Amino acid sequence: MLFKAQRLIEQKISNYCETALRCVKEGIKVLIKCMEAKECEEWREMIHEVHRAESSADDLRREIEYFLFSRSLFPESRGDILGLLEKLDRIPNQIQSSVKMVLEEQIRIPDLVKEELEQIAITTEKCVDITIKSVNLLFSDFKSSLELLGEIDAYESEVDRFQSKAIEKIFSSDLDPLQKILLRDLVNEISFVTNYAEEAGDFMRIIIVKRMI
Amino acid sequence: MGYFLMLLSTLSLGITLGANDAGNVFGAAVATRFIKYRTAVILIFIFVLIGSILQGGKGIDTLRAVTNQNVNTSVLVGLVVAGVGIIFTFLGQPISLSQSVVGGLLGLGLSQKTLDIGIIEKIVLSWITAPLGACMCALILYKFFNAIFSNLSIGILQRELIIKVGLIIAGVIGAYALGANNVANTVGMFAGVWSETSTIELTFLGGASIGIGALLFSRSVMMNIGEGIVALDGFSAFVSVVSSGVTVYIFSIIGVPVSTTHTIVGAVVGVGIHHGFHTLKFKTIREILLSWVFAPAICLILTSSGYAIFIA
Repeated sequence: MLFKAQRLIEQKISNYCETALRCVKEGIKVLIKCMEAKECEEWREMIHEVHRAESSADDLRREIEYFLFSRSLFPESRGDILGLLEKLDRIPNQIQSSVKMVLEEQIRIPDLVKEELEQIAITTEKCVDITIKSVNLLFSDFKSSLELLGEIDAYESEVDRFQSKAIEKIFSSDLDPLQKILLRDLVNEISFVTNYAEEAGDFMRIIIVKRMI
Repeated sequence: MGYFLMLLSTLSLGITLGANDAGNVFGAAVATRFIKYRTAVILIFIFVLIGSILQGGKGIDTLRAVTNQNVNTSVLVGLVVAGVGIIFTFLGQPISLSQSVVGGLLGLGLSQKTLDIGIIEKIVLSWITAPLGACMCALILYKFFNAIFSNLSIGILQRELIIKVGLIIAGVIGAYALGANNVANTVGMFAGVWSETSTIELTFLGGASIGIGALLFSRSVMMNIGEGIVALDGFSAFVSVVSSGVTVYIFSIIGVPVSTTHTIVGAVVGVGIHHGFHTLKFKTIREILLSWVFAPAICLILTSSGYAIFIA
């Protein structure tokens, strides 16, 4: 029974990770398309896919939480898994929030920051990809997961650099002040995704290290 | 009346033993929430009974042949030890009941002017060597098991599962040994008097009383061992239980009888030292150490006084 429960939890977490990653990939796709196109309207339909993936990830998270709470299984890992899910859940939420911001506030991305924003989007996708790989490794070979966590930090730092560069460019341009603020908020909003990935990575580091002392 | 008192003494001694010693086998596992309290006490009940019936008979037969106490003195020691044990169990203090029995017998020896100083030396030596040995053992085994676990390519849930299965196996073996070794302490004193009662009936009575004690009153001692000394995690609980078992085994090879209460407390302290002295709750340790001295000492005083009042 215990082995069955273990496999079931691992399967559910793997499904959650897959869904969360799909949400991020769809979100990044929308953001890049929006940067490429002058008009974002045609991509409005795509946000539904992001929303669906985010919603599925929420359902899966709730399912895992219920499963862990309803049965007194894995008392030591239960708190860690629930804490990690809470951290991970911010990632799809944040990407959805970024996409909604672009579409709802009808933000047009000027050419001067396009390159930086594209780099932020691409690096964010890589960062989340590594984060999800680390989560999966946590349930198959947790020590190997530790090796990947450094990569999350590296990607987060890279995004930080592009973020600073983009904000500098925005405020040294002669754009309308209101647009400057909107653009800065958008850059920060997208960059938050890697911050949350880093937080999830730090949480995983604690989970691993406390099992290695 | 005599038979009633003997039965009362047997049952209360068995229940006290079960309540106090259940913590030695499953305390760490229950306190770390790896095994539910209910599951633990049911497992203890079943395996104590099996251990008593399958292997407890030998000890009873030995005592049946060698006991030199009469019914009155046996009842006196039994009731005093059970009474003292109940008090310490409700205080949540893990004490060695076999040493309390020795304390009681020393009280009788004092009253009967047949006191053997050698026994006191053995008790004191055991107070020092058993916990110290278990503490050292835990320090070594912690590193050993840590090295093994570090080389395994497993996920966090698989690791937890291994620890959980390890804790259940160690607990079940401990419960079996508790029944096999201690059933003679509960009914053995009266085995000579109950000559018409078969050994299997006696082992069942003793085993069941230990099991009932574990079922009904073991929670406070369990929690004190698993939480009171140092906050244990699953791995530390596993190392503590195994270290305690290994220490008892090593001492039994050397030929020094030790208490599992002393070894589990020593092992838990050892794990705490590994994590750093600041993790140890010295107030609890001091209370436990004092109870180890006080329990046999109180038994000595009470049996000595009881002998003078009721028997002499």
